[in-house]
Amino acid sequence: MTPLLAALAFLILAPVFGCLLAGLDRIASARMQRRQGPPLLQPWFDLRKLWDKQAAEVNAFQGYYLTGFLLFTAGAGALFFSGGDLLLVIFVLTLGSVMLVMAAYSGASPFANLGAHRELLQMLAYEPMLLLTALGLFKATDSFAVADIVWAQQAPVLVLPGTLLGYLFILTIKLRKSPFDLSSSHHAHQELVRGLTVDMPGRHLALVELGHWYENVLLLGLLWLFFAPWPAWASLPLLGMLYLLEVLVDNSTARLRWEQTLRAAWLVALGLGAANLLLVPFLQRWS
Amino acid sequence: LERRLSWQILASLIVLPLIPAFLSLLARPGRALNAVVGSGALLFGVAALAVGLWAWTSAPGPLLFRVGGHALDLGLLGLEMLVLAFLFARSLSMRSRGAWVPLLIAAQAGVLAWVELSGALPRAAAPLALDHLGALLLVVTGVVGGLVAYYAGSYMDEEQQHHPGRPDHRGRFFFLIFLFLSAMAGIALSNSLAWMLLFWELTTLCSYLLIRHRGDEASIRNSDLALALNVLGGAFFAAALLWLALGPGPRSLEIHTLLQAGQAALPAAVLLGLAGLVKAAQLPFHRWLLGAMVAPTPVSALLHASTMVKAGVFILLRFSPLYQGSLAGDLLAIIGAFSFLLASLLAVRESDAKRVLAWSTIANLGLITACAGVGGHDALWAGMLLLIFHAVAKGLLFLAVGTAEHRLGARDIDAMQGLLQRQRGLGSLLVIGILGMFLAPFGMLTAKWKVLEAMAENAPLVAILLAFGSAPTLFFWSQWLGALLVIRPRPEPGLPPSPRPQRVAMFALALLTVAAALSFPLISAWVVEPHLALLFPGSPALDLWPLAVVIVLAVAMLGLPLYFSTHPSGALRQAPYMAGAGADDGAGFVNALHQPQALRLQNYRLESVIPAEALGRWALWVGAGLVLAAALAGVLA
Repeated sequence: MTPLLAALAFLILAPVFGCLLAGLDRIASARMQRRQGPPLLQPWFDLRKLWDKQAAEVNAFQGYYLTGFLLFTAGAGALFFSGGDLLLVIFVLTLGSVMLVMAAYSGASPFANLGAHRELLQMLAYEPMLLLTALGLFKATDSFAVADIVWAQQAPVLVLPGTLLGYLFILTIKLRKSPFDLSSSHHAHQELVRGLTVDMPGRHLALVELGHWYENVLLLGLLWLFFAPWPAWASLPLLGMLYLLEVLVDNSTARLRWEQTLRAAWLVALGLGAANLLLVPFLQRWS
Repeated sequence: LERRLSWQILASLIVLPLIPAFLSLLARPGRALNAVVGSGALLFGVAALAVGLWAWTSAPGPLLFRVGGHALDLGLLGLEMLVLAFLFARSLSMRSRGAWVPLLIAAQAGVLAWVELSGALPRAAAPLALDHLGALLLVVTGVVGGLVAYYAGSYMDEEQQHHPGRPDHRGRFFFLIFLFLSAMAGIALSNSLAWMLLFWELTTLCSYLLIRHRGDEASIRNSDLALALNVLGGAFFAAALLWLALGPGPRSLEIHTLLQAGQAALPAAVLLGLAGLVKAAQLPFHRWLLGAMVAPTPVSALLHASTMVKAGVFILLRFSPLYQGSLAGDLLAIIGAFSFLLASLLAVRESDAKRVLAWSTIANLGLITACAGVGGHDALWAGMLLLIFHAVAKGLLFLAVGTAEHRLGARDIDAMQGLLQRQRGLGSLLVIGILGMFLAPFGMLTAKWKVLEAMAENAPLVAILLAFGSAPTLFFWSQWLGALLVIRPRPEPGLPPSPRPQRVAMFALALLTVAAALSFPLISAWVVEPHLALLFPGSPALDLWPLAVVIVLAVAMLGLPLYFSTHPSGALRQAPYMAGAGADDGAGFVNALHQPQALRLQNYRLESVIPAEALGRWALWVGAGLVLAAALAGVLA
């Protein structure tokens, strides 16, 4: 019964946390730019406004794909927080991303199309490291089940320092933060400000935003797994600091080209993720 | 009850396709020929399915059939010599290859004749056998092969209409198709290696002649390449026989005896595995499969995607229990994983739909090879399921691409933009095929999940290669899917409808793809687990419950269109965003010269980051090195 309750709790609470996270993100960003920043609940106001806009669409299918995106992303999170299989979580999350890309493709706008291609490039960049993260957590704890990893003897980070760095690297891509915000960005500093979502009006954009809130909570949950066996007073502040680090990177870097992103992400996956995976047995003996 | 299936029934499965084969030569092309093809395909498919279902519902474990005698063996040896003589004569006329091809054929003939005539190896007392794995290959051959043959009747008619000047060889074409089906049934049911070698070389022969079918320059060149490489595979096979006859290992031609001999038979198993690698187009032997794409599309669907290449991984899966835990087995797994990675990357570079499918086939067979090399309960489970799922989905995709090619006049993926909108039926079939190849709840993803988990435990290096290889597959399949799903505000003209037999065959394969996805727990319980329980006593059956969530989500996703079709959104329809320069209601834009310009969308090929030529060289050299290492590790074991 507990897994079911946990999944339900995630489905209800994740948007709240996701929304607060987005608000904090914007305030932190603003302070780094010496601005005051919007109120904490601004993302919520934005979402409400988007939802109330006049309904419009480029075709009858886009809403379907976006509902799929929300469904699979929230489903992946529910699977994760109910203690499910990590690889399946990643597969379902990927499925959600594919749905988002399909929504952009279907519109036939060259800008949305470009955004869709770039989103796929981002997936190509982060997918190996994401899988290597799951494989690393398995090697460290002997289980793919989140429920087992949480109760591991020692924190996985002790044998997975490289994997953690690699995951932080691709987390920047997944959180759509600079320098890897190729497909769509919150900032006005790139040519495709809203490439992926350019054709998605009002309610559709609200669905995307909600999906991202779910996704971000799930991604932070994945990050938390590295320190999960530690007590909350140690692991949660650490998590907050690492997120602030992502915001700092976002605000202090300029966007890279897709070739650079791809090469960098694969090199990181190889040099940190794969190398660490092979070294786990030695690190285990040593620690 | 066990013995109720007599050897005559089994042997008749091999003989049965020969009847339509010879009738095809006699029938007049067109209606009469298609009637022969259709009824022959139906008969063979039903017979194969019946025997397969019988095997899966009876107790697992090989049923051995003691048949024949020296006379039959001599007859088959004579046939084999005929096949080799034909290949020898053809290899002499090759232009570009060196003398090694005819030499290898001659050596193979010599080895085979000596082994069988000198009595160095006792003749196989039970040359035929049936078990769950063999039944699997048999049913895939019968059902997918039957459907493809049926489809091919209509396809070859169209082909003839498109090129009225070409000589009409449809009769010979279908003779070869049915001869091939017979050979595949033979491979699935052989217990004697000598028998299997005959069928093995027959598939080489059929593939060679079918690739050449069109008779143009490219077909001839590529058929020569296919022959040269497959002769190399045959040579590995003959080397295995030679080792059995001369080496310290068990003196037997019977596969199931070798399996029981355990590690003592490893060298023979590795040599046979190398023969399997060639047939399955694994690195560094992959080039013939790319070349084979010049053949008519049903040939690609049948031989080069869903059945013949499966014979290669079939032999690897068969001997997997011997590879498990050995260095040679690990090397085979790395060859498979390496093939998966490189083929997936190179598929991204292609825009020709058939070549994308060919690379993806190499990649997926690599996945199965990796499973077979690592071995163990979970890996073999994934390997066997992959074999089924890949056969139906890839067969469907090839057929749909063939039909699309005849309608569109092109088989470029960019030409398929908006195909779902232009012809809903054909577009949906392609979409189902693509979903079957990479998304949940379709089996490929399920199998990939288990492959990764199995590898993480036993072979981290293989798992790493797979982690890197799976991202490019996601990339090129999503791009293709996205191209199909593009919806233009002003639809492009529709396409002429596909002929009925083509629609029927494709629809059936689509149905099978979906059915395999929905019923895979049943397939697992009836077909795969009993086989594995015998090989790995005591290892628990796989827990499939974690997949329940995925299936629930996917079913919800499939149910959503119902909601959307009954609840029209009533939303304002807007034109696609063109940065304010839209023209023709969103079908184009106004260019810098203030002229309307039609919008053209294209997929990425990532030329700047995927160096295809360098990767091709890598594939050859690293592949060759790994094969050499595997052969040494196997023979010296």
